[in-house]
Amino acid sequence: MGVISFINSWLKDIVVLFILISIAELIMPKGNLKKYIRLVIGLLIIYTIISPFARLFRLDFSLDKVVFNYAKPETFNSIDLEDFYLKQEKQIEKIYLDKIIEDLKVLIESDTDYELVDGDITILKDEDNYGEIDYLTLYLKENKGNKDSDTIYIEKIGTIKVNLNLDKEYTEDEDDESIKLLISNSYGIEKDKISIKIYKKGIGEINE
Amino acid sequence: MEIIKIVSLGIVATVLIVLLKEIRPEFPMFISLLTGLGIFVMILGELSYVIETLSSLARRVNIEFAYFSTILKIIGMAYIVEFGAQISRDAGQESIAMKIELGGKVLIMVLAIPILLALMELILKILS
Repeated sequence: MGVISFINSWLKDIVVLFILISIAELIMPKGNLKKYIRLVIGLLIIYTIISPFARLFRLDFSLDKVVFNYAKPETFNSIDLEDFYLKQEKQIEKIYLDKIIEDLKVLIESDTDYELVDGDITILKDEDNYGEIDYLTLYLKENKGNKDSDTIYIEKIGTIKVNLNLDKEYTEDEDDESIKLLISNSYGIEKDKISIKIYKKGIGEINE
Repeated sequence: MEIIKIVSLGIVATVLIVLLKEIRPEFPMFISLLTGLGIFVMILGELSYVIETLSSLARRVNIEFAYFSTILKIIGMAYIVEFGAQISRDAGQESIAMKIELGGKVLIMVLAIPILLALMELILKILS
């Protein structure tokens, strides 16, 4: 029965294709370009007629794949590709910024008594200096790790405030200058392009 | 009734063009351009219905869908090219009309060549 169902599906393809083509011929414009449309339609008919032979000879042939390989890259899904590149660029930028923050974290933790909580980096996006740091804002807090490990610190929990600007809880300090100098020396950024905010602990800490 | 709107738009535009041709010879071109666009916008909704039906038919059979959408794309391009070329021709710019058509032909060939090559590959594979 395999042969009959094979011929059956082949015939069905051909019949539906011809119905489709007759509709397509109806909406075709008159004029010089008609023969070009006919050419493509002819190719489609040839493909539909000979494709069962490919299956008969057990050839692995996917028309979509081959057409896609031969096509000019931007012919198909040009918008998707553009989107894709934009997304890729954004991802690369994010990874780059995360990497810088990680580096800064290591640098600050090894060379100072502070640890990095968060950082905002603005990078230059023009052709010549792409990726150079334009402005750097760092949020630091005192590092507890250097102190005696037997000591238990209990931080006083103040009133919990939601949606307050982060800046308010951080103050600028005289230690800033040394950290700024450190970052400025290791990254080659001007000092006035770095802003450092240090979080000071509450008064209620108890040392036992 | 869409068809009455379309036909009356066409007739009004024709009358206007005939009347204005004597007084301001530069106006008829703009009117024909606007009429063409207007009629096109009017049929856009119906056209999408036709195209959707065609594509659902194409999906039902074994034809690779990218293939059929290429034909639809080519038909659409042909319409746009004809539209532009016809306007240039009406304005008496036969040479520009020819260039527009040339552009259309080249772009249609860009879409058709991959299919042609793929078909060649299939035939060669079967014969080898």
